[in-house]
Amino acid sequence: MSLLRRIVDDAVDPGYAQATTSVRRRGSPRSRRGTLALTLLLLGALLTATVIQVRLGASGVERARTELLKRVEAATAATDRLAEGLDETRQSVQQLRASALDATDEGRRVNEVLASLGVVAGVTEVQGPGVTVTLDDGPPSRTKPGEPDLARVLDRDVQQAVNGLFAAGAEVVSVNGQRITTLSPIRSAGGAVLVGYRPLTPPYTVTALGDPRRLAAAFTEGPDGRALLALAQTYGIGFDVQTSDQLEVPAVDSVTLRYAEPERDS
Amino acid sequence: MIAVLGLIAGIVLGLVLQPTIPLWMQPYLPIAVVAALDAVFGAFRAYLDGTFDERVFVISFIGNVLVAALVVFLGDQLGVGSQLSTGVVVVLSIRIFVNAAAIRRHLFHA
Repeated sequence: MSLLRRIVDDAVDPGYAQATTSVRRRGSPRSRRGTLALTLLLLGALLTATVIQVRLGASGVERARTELLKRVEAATAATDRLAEGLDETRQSVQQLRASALDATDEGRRVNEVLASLGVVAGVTEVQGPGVTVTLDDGPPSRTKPGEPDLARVLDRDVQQAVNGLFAAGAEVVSVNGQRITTLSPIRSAGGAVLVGYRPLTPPYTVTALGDPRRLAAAFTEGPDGRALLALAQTYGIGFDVQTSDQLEVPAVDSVTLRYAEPERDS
Repeated sequence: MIAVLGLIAGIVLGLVLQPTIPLWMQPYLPIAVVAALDAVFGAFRAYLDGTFDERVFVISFIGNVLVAALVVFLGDQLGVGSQLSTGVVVVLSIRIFVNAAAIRRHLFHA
């Protein structure tokens, strides 16, 4: 308690009492008043600066967010442009290679092998008849905040559609224009579904090329198609299978050549 | 009179310039303001008591602000920053209350 009493009793700086008892007063009255005004000027500036700063705090976070969003959008647009350029360059390279190889018998054989391998590896654009499977988020199921939304399409639902289509005999598959190869991951990060490290937004359109009727039948009657149908009926996820005579599947964005190396005895 | 003019000039200056406070200083600013307010209330009470001295005021003002910020800074380094700033605010606000009550008695004799 003595601590509190000390605070209350010494509320006024004891320096004031001492200053009045000591006779010496330094400086002219004018300069003393000047320092007083300067100190109060400092106080006013400090006060307003703090109030402004605290008020800006909340809107500052918001501004930083929109700024970041703008940068993300700009970077995505730049990536799209570059991918387009890459596509064109790759097509001209393929044409040049094909015409160069066409000159010899040996080259023609290589060309055929390359064409069939290119489809599997995903380096060539493919078009033809096929099936599109559309998955979409259903109306939000959550009634309380914090509850997981069960009508959301998850990465594993997209995986199931892709796997089911391959199992049903699809030759090439893409999701929202992203070609699926043996090296394409389908996963989620922060609620978004990522295909080949690109975040996608619903609806997710899985395009598969192959015999449309057989593909559609084998997929919807297969285990993956049935599981997705059950999801649609239980949670209200949008699920639709359509056949088409003319579909297009783009090539992959980037191809990395990998070489196997023999293990060396050291 | 000149003191009030200085205060108004400071507020206007802050509003016009809108200085951006460096990020590392931001946690200590509110504490510094509370300390400054404590010094001002003490000075006003001393003024009404007739014991006001400019030199004491200026030194107590600057000292208060620096020490309050330093205490919170030390607390931050030791991991007890929020507790220490609570302590500083409690002590300073008790003093502000006591001084405000004394000023009230002086002005209204009640």
